[in-house]
Amino acid sequence: MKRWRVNFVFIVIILFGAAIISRLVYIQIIKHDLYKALAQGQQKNYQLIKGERGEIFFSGGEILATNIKGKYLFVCPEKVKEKEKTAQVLSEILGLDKELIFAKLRKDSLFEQIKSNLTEEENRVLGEIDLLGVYLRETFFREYPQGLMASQTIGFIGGEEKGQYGIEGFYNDVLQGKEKIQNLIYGLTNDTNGADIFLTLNYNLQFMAEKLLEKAKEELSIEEGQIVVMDPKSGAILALANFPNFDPNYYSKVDDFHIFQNNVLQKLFEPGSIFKSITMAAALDQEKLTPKTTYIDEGNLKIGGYTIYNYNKRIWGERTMTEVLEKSINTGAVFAERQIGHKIFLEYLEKFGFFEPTGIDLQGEIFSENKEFKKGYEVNFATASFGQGIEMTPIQLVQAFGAIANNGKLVRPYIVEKIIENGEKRTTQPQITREQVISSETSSQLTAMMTSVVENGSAKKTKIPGYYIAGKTGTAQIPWTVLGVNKKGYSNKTWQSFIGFFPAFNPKFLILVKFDNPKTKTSEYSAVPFFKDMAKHIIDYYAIPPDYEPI
Amino acid sequence: MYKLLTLISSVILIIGLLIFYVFQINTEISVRFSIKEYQKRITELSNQNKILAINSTQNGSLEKMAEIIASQDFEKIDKIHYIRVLNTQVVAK
Repeated sequence: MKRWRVNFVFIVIILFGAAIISRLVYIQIIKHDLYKALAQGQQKNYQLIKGERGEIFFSGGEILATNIKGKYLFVCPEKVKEKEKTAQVLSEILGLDKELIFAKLRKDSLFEQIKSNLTEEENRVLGEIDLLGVYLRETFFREYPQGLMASQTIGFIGGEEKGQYGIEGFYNDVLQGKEKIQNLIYGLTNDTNGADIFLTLNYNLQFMAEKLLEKAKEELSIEEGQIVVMDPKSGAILALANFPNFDPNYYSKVDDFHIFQNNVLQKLFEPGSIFKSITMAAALDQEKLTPKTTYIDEGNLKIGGYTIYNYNKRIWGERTMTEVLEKSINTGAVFAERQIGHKIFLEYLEKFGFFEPTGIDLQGEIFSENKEFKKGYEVNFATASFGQGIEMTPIQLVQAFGAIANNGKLVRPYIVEKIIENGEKRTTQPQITREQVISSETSSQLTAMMTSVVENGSAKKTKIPGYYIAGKTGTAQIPWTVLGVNKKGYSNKTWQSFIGFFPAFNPKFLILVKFDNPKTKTSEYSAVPFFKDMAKHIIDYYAIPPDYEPI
Repeated sequence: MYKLLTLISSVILIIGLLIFYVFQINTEISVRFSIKEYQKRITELSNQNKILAINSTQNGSLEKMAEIIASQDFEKIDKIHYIRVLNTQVVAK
């Protein structure tokens, strides 16, 4: 009897065990995938994660754009019962207009942002009160610690966290963090973070360029201005300054959206006499003339119904081509253009890249096809030879003069030095054309002529004892159409600029200074002295040894 | 007798495994909690680090330096003389 009971208990245990084992086989083997997924869903905390946006730095590592974590306050108007009271409380804590908050609370929506990037105090107070339908959420905020500096070059983060303008716009896909479904329990990984970008811009030079533009505003009342510094051998942009600029931290407070534009690559202008160097480059390269070729200036030239004069209607008599550049004689430029003919002149302009974008890695570069100029009228070619009636962006002009400084080879300007993504570094390789725009002999001849402009000509004020600088001044009248006036012809306002490179016979720096409507008559009194300040600063900063012992 | 022993050892094993399971779960919960805490701390420190970097950038900016220099009444250097050293010279004056 006793044995029967023991056997019964034993059999029950065996059956119970078998039932458990068969259930386990069913759950763990047959339905393995289903239960694994269910278990993971219960045990692990999955969430859609967006990596942090990459940072932007100057070439020396100084921060231009970064991210900080902060909280923003939003409301769900539908859930807010006491709208007026809620608006009153929030207005007192946040220091915002009560009516503004109340208007948002009355909207028929599920989400209305009240304030972003809350201060610690606001965070603390809001955390202590309980308001129905009012929420705090943590997110990354873009911070631009340099404020106004290089604002048009960096751009900003607009709505939907998308980069707008400049680097933020052009490299948005590289900078933005990737989205990934991630297990929060087992730690965050960095592979979702966007790439960091190091620019070619030098902090010191950028600072100096912007200070000079501010000074130009004070002293010359310029309306707008740009300074570009480029390494002519690689195309690396070392400084790119615009005036006026804006603070990307508060871009939404800007009234005039034109200020977001980077006028170095997004605004056309007529270069004026600077362009005589390009005309001369083509004529020298075609061996139609030499620096010593002479012609007789009679003070004016009649083309069709038009008459072309020199500046101040001066008559220069017999002059060499070097003197044409030194004295900036308009009829001399027309003479040089006529030596090569319109077709070849056009071909050179194409080779210098005036009819296509430079390809600089910044958002929104524009260019002009110069359709009006290309129509083939005699007078258009004549005026274009001294830089009127032909339009371009400042960066196109910088690129073209880069070819003169770089032994006749064109370089593509670029502004991103390296991109670092997940520890991997990608460095930008300079793009230099194999084809010569002009021969290296022409480049040397023209450099000597442009050096003479600084030593003996209209740009004497640029002269820095001990250093040879090659450069050319330019003053051009601004057409009415550019000023928004529906009228043919030119206004009394001017673009005044100076472009030059140094040390002239082994160029390391190319600078363009361009001012819009300064109160001076010509660039000799505006852009030229500012170029000198910039060049002197660079010479001292890089401790460039002199070309000769100054007397 | 043999079967009884088997039964007792089975029960002991089940209880032992149960205790082990509870211990493991406890350890895992504790580790997960630590990970969360460390992650929170890392995020906080990383954010503080960013804020410090921003403050440092702003305090050490050239703008600030220019203000300090302006207040010091320094004389601006007008000319820098570079001394040429010839390869044949041992000492340059």
